Amino acid sequence: MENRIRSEREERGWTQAVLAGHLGVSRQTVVALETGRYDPSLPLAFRISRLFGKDIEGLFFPSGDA
Amino acid sequence: MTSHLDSGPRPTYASGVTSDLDINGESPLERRRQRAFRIQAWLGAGAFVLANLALQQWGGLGGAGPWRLLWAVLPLLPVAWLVIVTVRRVRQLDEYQVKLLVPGLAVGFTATIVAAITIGTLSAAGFAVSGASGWIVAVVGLLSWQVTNLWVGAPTR
Repeated sequence: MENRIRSEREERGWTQAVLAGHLGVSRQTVVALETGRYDPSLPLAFRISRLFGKDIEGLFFPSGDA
Repeated sequence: MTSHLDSGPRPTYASGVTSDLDINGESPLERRRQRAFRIQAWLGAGAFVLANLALQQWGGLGGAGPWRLLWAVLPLLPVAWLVIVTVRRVRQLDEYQVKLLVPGLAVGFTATIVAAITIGTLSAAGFAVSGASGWIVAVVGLLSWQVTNLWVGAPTR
């Protein structure tokens, strides 16, 4: 899976630590999400989509569908 | 262009750092949790060392005094504290951090079992096994657990 978490975060001028604070996760987890090393659980994916005000499909997509 | 950071060529950053926004380290909550865990863990480790020193000094090891058992279990109190502190810290971890802990636990468990069975088998075959074999098993388990944690980047703080 790929995602647009990094671009959404940068649009808001947030550091990874700030995003981690908003999501209640560690910065290490934000790094893993942004670099595609980790696909979040559905509850975390919904928290991320709610935070950015986007549908899950607008944030996460299968590799190659960018 | 999606942000002011996208103007011009993107510079190269250290691992996990993707832009100028990423230089501030962990979130304040995570830093507080890490600091609290470090302090509590070091207190437990210090108490464990002190309890062992007291055990050596006044525990009457090798004797037959009635208080021997109490002295012998004294170092287990700080160990119990360390277990409580660790469980509390694990409950604070998020889903990705918990996932990173699994390989270390699996390798540590396997290495511990292999060490224990090896020592047990050698002993059953008549080889003289050190009286400190319990410590050997503990050290093998701890080392393999922590080395694997370092290898996979599991949270150790």
